[in-house]
Amino acid sequence: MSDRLPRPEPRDAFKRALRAQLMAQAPTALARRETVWSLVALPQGSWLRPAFAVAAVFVLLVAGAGKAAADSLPGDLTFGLKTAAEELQLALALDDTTRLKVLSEDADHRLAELTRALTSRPEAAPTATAEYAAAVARFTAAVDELRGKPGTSEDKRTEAKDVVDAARQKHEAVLDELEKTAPEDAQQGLERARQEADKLRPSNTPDRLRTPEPTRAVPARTAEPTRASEPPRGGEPTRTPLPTRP
Amino acid sequence: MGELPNSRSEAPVSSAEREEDAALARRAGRGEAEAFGVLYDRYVDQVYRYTFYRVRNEAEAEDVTSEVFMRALRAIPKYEPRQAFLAWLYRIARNAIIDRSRRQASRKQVSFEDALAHPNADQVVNPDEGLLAGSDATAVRRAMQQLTPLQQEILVLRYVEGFDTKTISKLVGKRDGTVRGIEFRALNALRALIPSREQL
Repeated sequence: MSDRLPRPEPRDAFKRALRAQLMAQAPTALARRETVWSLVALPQGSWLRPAFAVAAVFVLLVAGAGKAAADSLPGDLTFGLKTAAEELQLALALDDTTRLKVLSEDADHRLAELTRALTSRPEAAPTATAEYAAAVARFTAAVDELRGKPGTSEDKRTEAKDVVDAARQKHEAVLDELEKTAPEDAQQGLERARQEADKLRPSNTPDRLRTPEPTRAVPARTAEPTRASEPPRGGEPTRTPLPTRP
Repeated sequence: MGELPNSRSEAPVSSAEREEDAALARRAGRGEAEAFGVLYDRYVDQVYRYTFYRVRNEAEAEDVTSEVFMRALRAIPKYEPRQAFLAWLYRIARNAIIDRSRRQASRKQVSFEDALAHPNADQVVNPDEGLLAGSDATAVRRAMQQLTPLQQEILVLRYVEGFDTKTISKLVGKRDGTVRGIEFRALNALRALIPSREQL
């Protein structure tokens, strides 16, 4: 065998015909196809592509976990995620009033979870009640802290009072409604929740949101005779005391 | 085996050519047909030679060459210049040849039933046979059909294109020593398959 093989060449006619065919098909074959990658302007082979893909998967996972956490009840595995997100939101609050609003929203969430637990998952009710109590306690503690803080303006106190009033009215309305519809075995948990919600009442927080003033000889409001036809003073709804439960 | 007259110890393309190829491929990938045309002019002969010894006849070599460039045209937006353009074309050609042989194998299976119906079918004369019988290239090509695809590829790159072992090892993705071993066994097989070695 010799040291080389013949080097065949393609026919010129073949080469010309194939070139013409390729040039005719090129406009269609080379037409740009829009892909996800071209939309995000990441070139082929860019190291950003895998990074982008990993980030996209991460976002999907977080979104999925976030959805699961949002639907969770106290005691569920994903409940920790929800409270972690709330803690983050609290940490990002820039001032005391915003912080108070966040805590109020957290208490709202716990109340919503308690409602769901009492109506659909009674076994989760004790944990949900404890979480609700803790959220209300934290909220009232923040109100106390704001009151005791030196230099708190009157505007801020008024704003904070509005937040507490709104929370109280909402919670009482929810609990009133729940009392009518909750099953008998949920009533005990509901009563405890009611006791926690009572901590938001002005009667239980007499000076919580008022600027301490020097004592003056002013007749006490409660000493005034109340008339049944008059609306409650201060716009505060009156609440019928609950009958004592065994 | 002495020094090859058409031996090329350097890479299939120089680094400057490689950069030029990459730039042309990028332009083609963006839709410039003429940039692809330049690449075609540059490599059509090499692709044809690569396929020539691995198929049965010139017509098939032309078919495969056409298929290679058609596939390259469609795939060029995905071409990554980390790989030399010629090596990329060789890879497309390798796949095209494998696909073709698979298709032919399945066709043979179908014609086996025909053979049962027509017992003398194997005696039908191949129209190319007489035409190409006297050609050295044809004899070698027929013998090479008996080799494995990798043996065929290495022999073509070594004895048709004249690349050295190091270059071939990069083109086929094998180590130097492996390429030498495959080449050695392929040559021995070829010597046994080609009756009149001295004529080659």
